[in-house]
Amino acid sequence: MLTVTHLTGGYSRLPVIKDLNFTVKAGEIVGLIGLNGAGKSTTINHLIGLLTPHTGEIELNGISLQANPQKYKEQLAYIPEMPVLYEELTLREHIEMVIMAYHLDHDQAWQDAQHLLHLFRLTNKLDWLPANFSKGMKQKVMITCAFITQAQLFIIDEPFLGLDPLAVKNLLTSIRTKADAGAGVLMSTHVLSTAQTYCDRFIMLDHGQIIAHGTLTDLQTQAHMADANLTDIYLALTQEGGSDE
Amino acid sequence: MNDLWRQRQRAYRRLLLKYSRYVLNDHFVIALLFILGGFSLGYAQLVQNLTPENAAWWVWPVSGIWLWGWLYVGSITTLLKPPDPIFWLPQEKASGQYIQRAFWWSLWRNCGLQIIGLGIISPLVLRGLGMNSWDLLALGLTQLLLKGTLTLLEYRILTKKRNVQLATKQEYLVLFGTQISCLILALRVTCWGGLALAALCLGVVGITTYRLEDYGIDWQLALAKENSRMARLYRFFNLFTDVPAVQGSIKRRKLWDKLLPQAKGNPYLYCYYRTLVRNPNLSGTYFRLVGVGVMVVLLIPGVWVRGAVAVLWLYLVMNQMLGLASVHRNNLFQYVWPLQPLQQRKALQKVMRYLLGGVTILLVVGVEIVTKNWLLSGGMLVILSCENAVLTGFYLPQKMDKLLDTQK
Repeated sequence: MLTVTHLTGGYSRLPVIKDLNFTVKAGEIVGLIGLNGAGKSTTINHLIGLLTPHTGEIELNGISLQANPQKYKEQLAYIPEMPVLYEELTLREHIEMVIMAYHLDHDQAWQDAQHLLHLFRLTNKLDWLPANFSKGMKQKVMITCAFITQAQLFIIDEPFLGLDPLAVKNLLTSIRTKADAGAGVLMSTHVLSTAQTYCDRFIMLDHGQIIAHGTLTDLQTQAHMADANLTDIYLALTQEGGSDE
Repeated sequence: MNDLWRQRQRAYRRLLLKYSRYVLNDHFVIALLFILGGFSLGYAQLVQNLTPENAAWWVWPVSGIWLWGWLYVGSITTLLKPPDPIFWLPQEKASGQYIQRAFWWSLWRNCGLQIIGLGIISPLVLRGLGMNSWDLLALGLTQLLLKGTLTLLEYRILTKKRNVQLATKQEYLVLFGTQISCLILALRVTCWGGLALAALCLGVVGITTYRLEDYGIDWQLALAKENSRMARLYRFFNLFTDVPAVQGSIKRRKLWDKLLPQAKGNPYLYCYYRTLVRNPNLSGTYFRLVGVGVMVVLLIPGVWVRGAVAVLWLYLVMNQMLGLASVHRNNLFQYVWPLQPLQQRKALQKVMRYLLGGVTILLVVGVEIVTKNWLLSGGMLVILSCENAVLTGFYLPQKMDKLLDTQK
């Protein structure tokens, strides 16, 4: 699915992320965790093509981002941390845009959309403009637009911010459904308790490098903390690293 | 406070200079030269044939309306900012002096503007009404005194007792009547009579202002007026470039939903149609340009000048509407979704063709109304249609290369 090899990059000549190597397989949910400034968003920005790596390769199902960005992006859906909407388009029109951008089957996509809109209680807001939405509602629009695609990989950055508990539960259910259907999910989050429950594997970043990766059991082994939960492992490993903000 | 006033004046001048670069861009300057040239030619031709004996009935009312309207060009510029009432609290007296400096600066500037307005209308009044230089001087002084009265009244409502607001409204009505009377007297009877009445008016307002107790600055009103003035300025600049302070709120315009094409297969085209209709910066700019273009074509004399202006106007509209290409540049999904760059270019070309097509039709209708010559209108249609094809087919792709590359 997603293969990242020797990825080094940043916003200028100075690298922020250094020599990252990881994968996200089909059907698994991978949690990308780390302190503020660890390099999570930078990593994601490289994976979605917003930043060009200094070195390294990013491939999705064998298709390289650098060599064939169009084909790469057709397999990818992204939910940003802060909702980004077209101010001039209604919710209905956002969905139409996604359908056109991803060349989706119109009827099938709307069927999927209706299900998600019902789930997130947006059914009667199809003709609303973003200016009339709360932050949480905008986030739900982003989730709906991403989940109607037939993406092979979902990259989700801090999806829980602004969502009510019911929406969080519905989102997690939808993520698990997508993973069960064969998609890979890379999810960046600070909500470690949720990550521990829903993620299959974890990638822990610190100072732009991977300091631990694998299942919870693998992390317990790496941290020499048998039976510890993800929060304790996270605190132990990051404090060890002595990260400054 | 004197230093603060000077500082703010300098900052204000820098702001005007910064935005004037965008206003006086090459395209607009060329169009403006043609328009001013055309108007000047028409005006000169009109005035040349006028004498007091054969002057048309409209000369004095048009001059009067012009002069009266021009009185309202330019208001007090205080350069006040929202934090001022809080930070100047212990400096009540000094803040009064600040407003006085603003008043005098505004007065001199406004008087300068009045002289410009008088200069524009002077050929008409000299030839059409048979005035001589002394009469013109008297008329000019009348205009300056009336403007001075208006500016003084503005100063007064910012700094004097609140309970004069009602009286001020009555005084505005009296002033309005006096302005009309002065100008009618000056243009129909004697300029010196108008001058005397204007001087009397200024005297009355001046004395009553002097006798009124100082209130201190009416901050709410002063800030509201200054914000309103700056908003007008920013809206003007926004016709030529993006001004951060002016981002009009998006209008839903539901009635257009059924009329907008679905643009299946091209998400950019789909987005651009809706953006054009709902984004007031873009739709407002387009309709204003179309409206002004049609007015210019209707009013400018001469077939060739009219034609040249129409050709230039199409070019101007295209350049002003290029903002459509950048309106979504900060939306990251432009870069994350699997969108094809070629689709964006095709979408822009198509939309621009329609926009210019709309302008073409209206300009041709304008030409037909004025000339009533279908051959001329037909010729203009052909020329503008060819220009549309050349601009969207050759010029626009080159501009897009620069615009879309700089967005990356």
